[in-house]
Order: sequence, then C-alpha cells, then structure tokens
Amino acid sequence: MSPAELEALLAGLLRLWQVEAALCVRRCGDQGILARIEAPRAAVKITYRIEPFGPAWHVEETGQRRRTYPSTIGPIRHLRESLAPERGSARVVFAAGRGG
Amino acid sequence: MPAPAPLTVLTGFLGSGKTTLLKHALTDPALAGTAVIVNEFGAVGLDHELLERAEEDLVALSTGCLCCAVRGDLSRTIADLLARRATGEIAFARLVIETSGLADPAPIVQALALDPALRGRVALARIVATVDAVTGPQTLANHPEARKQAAFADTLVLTKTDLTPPQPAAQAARRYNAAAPLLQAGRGRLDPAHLLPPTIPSAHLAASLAAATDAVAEHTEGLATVTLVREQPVPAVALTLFLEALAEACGPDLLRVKGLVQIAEAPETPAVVHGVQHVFHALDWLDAWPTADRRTRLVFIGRHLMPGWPRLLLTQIEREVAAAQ
Repeated sequence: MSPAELEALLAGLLRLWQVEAALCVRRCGDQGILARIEAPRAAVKITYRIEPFGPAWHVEETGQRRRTYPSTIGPIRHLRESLAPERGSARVVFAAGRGG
Repeated sequence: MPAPAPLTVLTGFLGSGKTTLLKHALTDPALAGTAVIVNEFGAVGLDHELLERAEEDLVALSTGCLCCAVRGDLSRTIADLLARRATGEIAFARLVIETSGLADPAPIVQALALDPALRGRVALARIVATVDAVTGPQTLANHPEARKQAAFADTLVLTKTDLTPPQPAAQAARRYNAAAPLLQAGRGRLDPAHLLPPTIPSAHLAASLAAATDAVAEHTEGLATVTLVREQPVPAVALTLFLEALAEACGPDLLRVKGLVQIAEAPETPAVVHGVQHVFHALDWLDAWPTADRRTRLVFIGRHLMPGWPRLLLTQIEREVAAAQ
C-alpha cells in the first residue's frame, strides 16, 4: 500500500462517518506508513507496516495501549469505535443457499 | 428440490400507482401464473369479472393469477402458499409482494433471505419502485420512506406519465438512484416483461449489469451509487472479507450491493452477489458469463461513499489475503 492509498482509505472512512478531522499521512522508514488523525473525539496514530508475518496495522490512541491488527477490518472497527461510536456497524449475514 | 420461485417486491409511496400497475399486469396473459401477496385484498381493486374463486385467504383470477392477503407474518404467508403449491392445491410460477405505501423494503427482503422455511424456495428477482410523475418530486422531497424505496429499487417506474411530463419526477428519482432503469407507465400500463420476474433471477441481474462502467453517481442527502469494474478475478475469501469490511465501515448506510464477480477459484462461472444492507443472499452461480465481458462488476448504493473507496478496500484486502497464503 502506498501513502496515497492509505490516505484515501482513511479519508473514505472519515467521510462515511461524517467525521471532520485533520488527516496527515507520510512514509516512515523503508516499509512503513504513518497516519495521524486529529478528530474531535480522539487523536489516533496508525502505522501500517509489512512485518515478518505479513502486513500489520498498529493503532494507537493518546494514553492507550497500542493495538495491532493483521487485517483491515480490525482498524476499521477500532477507528469507528474511537472516532464515531454513534455510527452503527453491521455484521454481514449470508442467507443459506438451496443446499442449506 | 424444484427451482426457487422468483419473487418481485413492488414498492412505492402511497398513491404512487402500485395497485393500478398490478391490476393491469394481472390481466396480461404473459403474467399468468403469478401469485400476488398484498396487505389486504381491497388494495388491489380486483375487477369482479376477473374473479374466479374467492376463499377466506385467497382469490383466484380467471387469468390464472392468485391474490393472497398477508396474514400475520409475510414469511409464513409465503411458506403457506408454497406448501399449498406443493400439494397441487394451487399453482403459480412466480410471486409478487406489493408492499404498503409506507413500507421500508429492506426488512422485507432481509426476512425473506433469512427465513429457514423459505431457504432455496424463493429467490429475489427484483425490487420495483413506483414514483408518481405528478407528485413524485414533492413526495421524494418530503418523505424519507419514498426516498428509501427509490434508493433500494432495481427498477424505477414513473407512473401517471399520461398526466404530466415525466422529466421532473425522473430527475427527482435519479437523485436517489442513478443505477436503476427508469421506465414509464402512463395509465398504469407497462410492458409486462418489466414486471414479470425472470425464471432465473440472477440472469436478470447479469443483464442489467452488462453495461456497467466504473463510475460514481452522487445523489442528494449523501446517497451515492459507486460502480466497480475490474479485470482481475477476486479470491473467494477476499470477497467475503471485503463484504465484511464494507458492512463494518458503512453499517446501515450501505443500502445495496449487487453484481457479478469473477471468482479466482471458478473464473468460468460468475458469482452473483445480491445484498440488501448487511444481509446477503447466498451466492448464486451462473452456468456461464452472459456475454464475452468477464469483468467483475459491482454496484454499491450507500450514504457518503467516496468514489473509488470500495475498489481501494478490495485491493487492500486482496493483498492481505495474498500475504496470508
């Protein structure tokens, strides 16, 4: 993922949730991208990096423990709960097919 | 097990012409074998000369159609019709549900998808929404129910176009749904092919997506239709994770997802994706691609969707899946 892609991904989330926030994204080191979101409810630092086990999302809020997620769904959930807890989420339900 | 009965949901605001549309449709020989489920018999305004047989809960028409009022639970009403069909008591090939004018079609479609009693026995063919050409612009502006009905529709039908030029209502409807075909029904008359659910619902969806291009259409109130067209096949697990991430991010603001997907593990047989909010019908597989175009085509209707964002999300999830393998 490039810094521009991460920025667009995060900007898309902020727009979905209608959160007014300052978003700053830059490359950090050889393998990492750092994003900072300054929103009314929280300030969040996100580091996306290719670790030995694969891509990893490290999400850190001021005064809170850093959380690491192996896939995009994790940071989406984390950010929604921090920045826009009033926005509803949904769990996908697949209806069973003819075979049950 | 027999093929699932195709089911059309006919929705539209109070007085927008659903009943008139149905009334004409039921007299058309092409629609013989249709079972119509309404909230109450009186709503359909059946012509007496068409009545062949009336029971407490069922009206049979001389055209070969049936009308049935919802009794309590819609799913149970459908299950009862299917059971009676199975015993040979009644016969029908397709189902139409006429919703009430204030109904939100989403819970109806979700209930049908999730009810175990209907599993594999009915298949959503399409959602048709009527928009009154005379009062439609004002109704859409003033009533969220009407906007939601229009936004969910696979097909929009402008009614009463014999009374007024259709352009203002067409423009108003387009603000909430840019993707659906927009048809006109003056005096309640419409080519039955547009109401007639196809035998294979997925084929209809495939045909409607044939001309889809990578695009975005912005509507009012943040509603947007985003279309994603891509050449590369999608790994099955990436598609599932993508839909989960989409639902997690969008929540109830995701109204519809529909499309044809080229799955990496089965590129010769396209998968049909059909979701209403977070509830997805079981993936349906077509025997073959409807045209030479084998690209994945997905349409998303939701609030505050940014152009290109679903594509970005899918690409990222694909990377994560590839890294994990």
